[in-house]
Amino acid sequence: MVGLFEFLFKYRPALFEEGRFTFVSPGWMQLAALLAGALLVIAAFTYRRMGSGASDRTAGAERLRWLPPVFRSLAIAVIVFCLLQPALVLSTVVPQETFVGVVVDDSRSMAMPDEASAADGTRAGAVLEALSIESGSMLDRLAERFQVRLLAFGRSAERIESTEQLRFARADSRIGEALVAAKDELAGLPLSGLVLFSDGADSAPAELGDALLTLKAAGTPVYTVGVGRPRLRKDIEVSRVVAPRRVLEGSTVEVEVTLSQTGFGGRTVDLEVEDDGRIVNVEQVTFPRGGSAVTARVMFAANDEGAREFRFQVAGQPGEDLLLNNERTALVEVLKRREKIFFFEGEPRDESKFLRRAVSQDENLHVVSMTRQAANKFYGMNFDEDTRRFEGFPTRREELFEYSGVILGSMEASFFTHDQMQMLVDFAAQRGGGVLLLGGRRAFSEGGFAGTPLAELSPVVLYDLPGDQGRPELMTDLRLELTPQGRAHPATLLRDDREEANELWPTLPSLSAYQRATELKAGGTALLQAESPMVSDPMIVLAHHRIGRGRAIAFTPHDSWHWQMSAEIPLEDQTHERLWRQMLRWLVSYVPDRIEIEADRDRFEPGSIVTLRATVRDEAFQEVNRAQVVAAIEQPSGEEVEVPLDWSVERDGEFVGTFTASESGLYRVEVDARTEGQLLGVATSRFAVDELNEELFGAARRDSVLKRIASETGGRQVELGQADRLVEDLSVSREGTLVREARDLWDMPILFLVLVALLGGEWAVRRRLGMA
Amino acid sequence: MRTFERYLSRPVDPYEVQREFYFTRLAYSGHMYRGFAGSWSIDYPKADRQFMIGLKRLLDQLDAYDYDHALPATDPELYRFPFLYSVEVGYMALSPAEREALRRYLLAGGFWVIDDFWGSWEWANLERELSLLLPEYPIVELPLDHPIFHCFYDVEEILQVPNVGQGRYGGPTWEQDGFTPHVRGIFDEQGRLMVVINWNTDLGDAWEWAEDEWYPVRFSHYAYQMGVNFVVYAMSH
Repeated sequence: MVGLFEFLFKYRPALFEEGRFTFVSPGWMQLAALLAGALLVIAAFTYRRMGSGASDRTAGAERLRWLPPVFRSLAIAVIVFCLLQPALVLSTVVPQETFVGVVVDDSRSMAMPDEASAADGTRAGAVLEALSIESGSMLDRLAERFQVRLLAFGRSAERIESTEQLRFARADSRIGEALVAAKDELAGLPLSGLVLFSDGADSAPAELGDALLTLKAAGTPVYTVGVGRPRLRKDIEVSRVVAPRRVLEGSTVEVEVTLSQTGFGGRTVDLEVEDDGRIVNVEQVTFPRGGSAVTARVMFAANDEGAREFRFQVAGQPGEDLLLNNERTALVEVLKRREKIFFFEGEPRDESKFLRRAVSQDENLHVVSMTRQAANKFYGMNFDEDTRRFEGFPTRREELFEYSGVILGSMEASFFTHDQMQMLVDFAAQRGGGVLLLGGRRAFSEGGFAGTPLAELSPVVLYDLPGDQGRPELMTDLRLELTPQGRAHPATLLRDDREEANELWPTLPSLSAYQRATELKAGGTALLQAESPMVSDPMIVLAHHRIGRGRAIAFTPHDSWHWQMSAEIPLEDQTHERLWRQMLRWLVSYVPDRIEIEADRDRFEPGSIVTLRATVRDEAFQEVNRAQVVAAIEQPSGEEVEVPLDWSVERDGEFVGTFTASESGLYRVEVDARTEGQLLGVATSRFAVDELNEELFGAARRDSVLKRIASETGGRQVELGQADRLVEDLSVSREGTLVREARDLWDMPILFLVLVALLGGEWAVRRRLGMA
Repeated sequence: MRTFERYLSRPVDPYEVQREFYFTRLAYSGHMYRGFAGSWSIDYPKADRQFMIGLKRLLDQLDAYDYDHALPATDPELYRFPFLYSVEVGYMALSPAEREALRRYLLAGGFWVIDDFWGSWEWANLERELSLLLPEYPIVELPLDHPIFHCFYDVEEILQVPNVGQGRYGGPTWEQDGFTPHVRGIFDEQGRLMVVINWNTDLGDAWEWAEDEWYPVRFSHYAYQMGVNFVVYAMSH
C-alpha cells in the first residue's frame, strides 16, 4: 500500500506527514489564473455553439452534454496546479552533523536460527550483516548521513565500539530500560533518533509504557528493525504455569500448565512434573490440530515440607527450533502446620465420628468438634491450649474466625440466632473461610435453611418445606458418579492416578441421603451426582460455589462411613480416609491468614525490585490501617535486611514496601505487624531469584512490541535491508541539526495520470455525442 | 445359629425407618450356660429395651431405634451397626468365621462393650477368646481420667453393680471370686478404643431392673451413666 502511494505521489506518506505543502512560484499565480479563466471561457463558448447546431441528439446524449466542459476545466486546473510548482518543504538533517543511536539486542534469543535473510540463518547473523562495514549495508548507509553510535543491550544498554563486541548471549533483554539508557547515553548530542535491532522479546518485569513515555517526552523517535520470523516453524513451549503459592504438606497440588506449539498439532507429548529431580507425575497432553495452545491440569502430591521448586517440562521433540522454552518452574511453599476446622454437629452420628477419625492422623488438620448430645448439652472435643473454649456455637466473631474451615452437620437452622447465621455467612464471605455443609435429616431444606441467611451458603437450590414435614424420607442405594468437572477435581482424587480414581467411584458401595438436591445455584459447580428411583433428575451429591472471598461445599450423603466399615472394602483400604482428607484440605486451601505477606511474584531476575505486600487484620478479620509493619528479609547468603512497609492507602489493611533482590537464590520474608506496641501477628513467605530466560518464551519475533515502540515514540517500524527508507525517515526527523529543503511535487505521476484520464474522458464523451 | 433365631425378639421392623443408632447385641456362639444354650441372650431383650428408654430420654438428640437389636457376628449387615454389646462372655466360644468377622468389624471401626461376667475362670475364657481375636493388642486397665468416664457424665468411681438377686436382697455385690470391678480396654495402633470390658459387674441387670423398687437406685443410676457414656464415646471417638 505504501509502495503504491509512493509510486503515485513520488514520496512516502511519512514525508507528507513530516513536511509542509507550498507553491514555489507565487508570481505565476495571477498569470496562470488569468490563462485558466480565458481557456475556460473559450471552452464554454465552443460547447455552446456546438450544442445549438445539433438538433438530432437523443435524450440520453443530452444528459451527457455537460461532461466535456467539466473534464476540460479540470484538466486545465491540473495544468495550472503544476504550473504553480507545488512543493513539499521538509526539515532535513545536515549530513554528518546529526547522530543516530543503533541499539542492538545482545540477548541469547538473538541466536535463534529463524532468519532466512542471514547467511547463517540466525537473527544475530542478520543483524551483523546489516551492521557490517561493507558498502551498502544498513550501517554504511546510515553512516553516509549520520554519526552512528552503537549500543548493545541486555538488561541495560552500553556503548560498544564495533559489532565484534556483540555476543548474543545475555540472559535477558529489557527493551524499555535499554532504550532509556541509550537516550541518556547520547544526551546532549543532536540526535535524530534511535534504531532498535531486536526480535521484540522483552523480559522486563515492568510495563513498557513508562519507558516509551519517557522517550516520547524527550522527543526521541525509535525506529525498530525486527529480526526473526513472526512465527516459529516447530516449537513447543511451556507458556504459563498457575500454581498455588502455598499448600499444606501432603496435599494434592493442582496446577494449570499452558503449552503452546507450532508445527506439532495433533502430537501427544508427556508433561513431566519434577520435584527436586524426582518425577512426581507425568501427564499426557495432546495438542489440538487446529489450535496452538492447550491447558493441562496436573495434580501431584506435595509431601516434602519447605519451599519446593516444581519443574514442568516437555521433552524436546525432533526438529524443534528452541528447546530452552520447554520447561518452567513454580515455587510452592509446602507448609507443615495445622489448619483448624470447627465441626458443629447437631446430633450424635456415625458420619461425624468416622469423618473425624478419617482425618485424626493428618498432622495438618486439627478438627475441633462440638456435638449436641441433648437439648443444650454439647460435647466438645479436641480443644487445646491455643483454642478458645465455648459451649455450643460461637457467639463472637473472634471465636469463629480463628478457624480456617467450618463443617456444619445435621443441625436445624432454628437452633441459630440470626447473628450466628450471619456470622457464619461472613466467615466465608469476609474472612474467606471454607464452609462444608453435610447432609443429614436436619440439614439443608430439611433443616429449614431456606429463607434464612444460611441458605446463601448452599451451592444447591433450597426449598421452603411448608409446615412440619416430619421425618424426611431417606433415599437409599445411591451410586455416586463423577460429573465432567468432578473427573478433574482434586477433591475427588481418591487414588494417586487420576484414571484409577475416576474408575473407582462407580464401584464404591452405595450411600443414602435425605437431601433431594437436584438444582445448582448460578455459579455452583457439581462434582458428584447420583441417580435415585425416587427422584426424576440426577441428585447433586457434591457441589461447591464461591461466597465472597471464601467457598462453601455441600456433601449430601449421611453415611459415607460405610466406605470405612463395609465388608466390601478391604481393611487396609484408605478410600474413606482419603475422601475426607482431600475434602477438608480443599475446604481450607487458599483461606487467608490474619497477617499475610506476599511478593508480587514468586520468581525474579537478579537485580529486580521486589514489591512486598502485607495484609493486616485483627482477630475479627477487620483490616487494620494503623499498624507498624516490618518485613525481615533473609537473603540467600544469610544476611538479613529489614524493610518497613507503609499503608498503601489504596486498600484497607494493605502495607507495601520494596526491596532490590541482587543475590540469586531463595529469600525468606517474615513480616511482623504491631499496633500500639502489641503484636498482631507474624507471617512468612518466600520468593526465588534466578535467571528466568523469560525472553525465550514467546520466542517468535514480537511485531506487536516493535510496532508499539515505534508508534508511541514517533518512529517507524522498518524491515531489515530497507536502508534507504530508514535513512530517509531519520533524515526528515524533527530532531538533530536541521536544514529546510523543498521537494518538487509537480512531477508526481498521479498528476499526469489524472490529466490523461480527464482528457481521455472528454474525448470519449464528445465522440459519443458526435462532436469529435 | 439356631439359638439366635430361637431367642430373637423383633417387635418392630428395625429397618423400616433407618436410624442413626441401634443398640446391637452380639449373638455369639458359646459353651453351654447353666443348661441353656445362648449365654449371649442373658437379660435379653428387656435389659436392652429398658436401656434404650433411658438412653433416649437422656440423649434426646440421638436418633435411636427404640427396641432390642441382636445380630450374629457373621451377619453381612453387621458393619452397619458400629456399636456392639455382649454379656456373659465367660461362656463365649467364637467360631473361626465369627472371629474373622468380629476382628474385621473391630479393626474397621466398630466398638464393642462387654459386660456381666465374673471371676477369674470367666476372665480366662474371655482372655483366651480375645487372644485369638486380637492377638496383637493387649488388654489394659482404663484409668478414671479416660474420656470414656467423662464424655457425658463424670464418673469418679468404678462401682461393682450386683445382679438383680443380690442387689434386691442386699447380699454381696460380687459373684464367684470377682470381688473387684474393673473397666478394661483394647486400643488399636492409633490409640482408638475398640473394646471396653466391664468385668466383675453387671450393668445389664441394673438397666433391666431399674424400675424395681427393691433394686438399689445408686447401682442403676451408675449403670445408666456408664451406658450413656459408652454410647456417647462410641459415637464420637
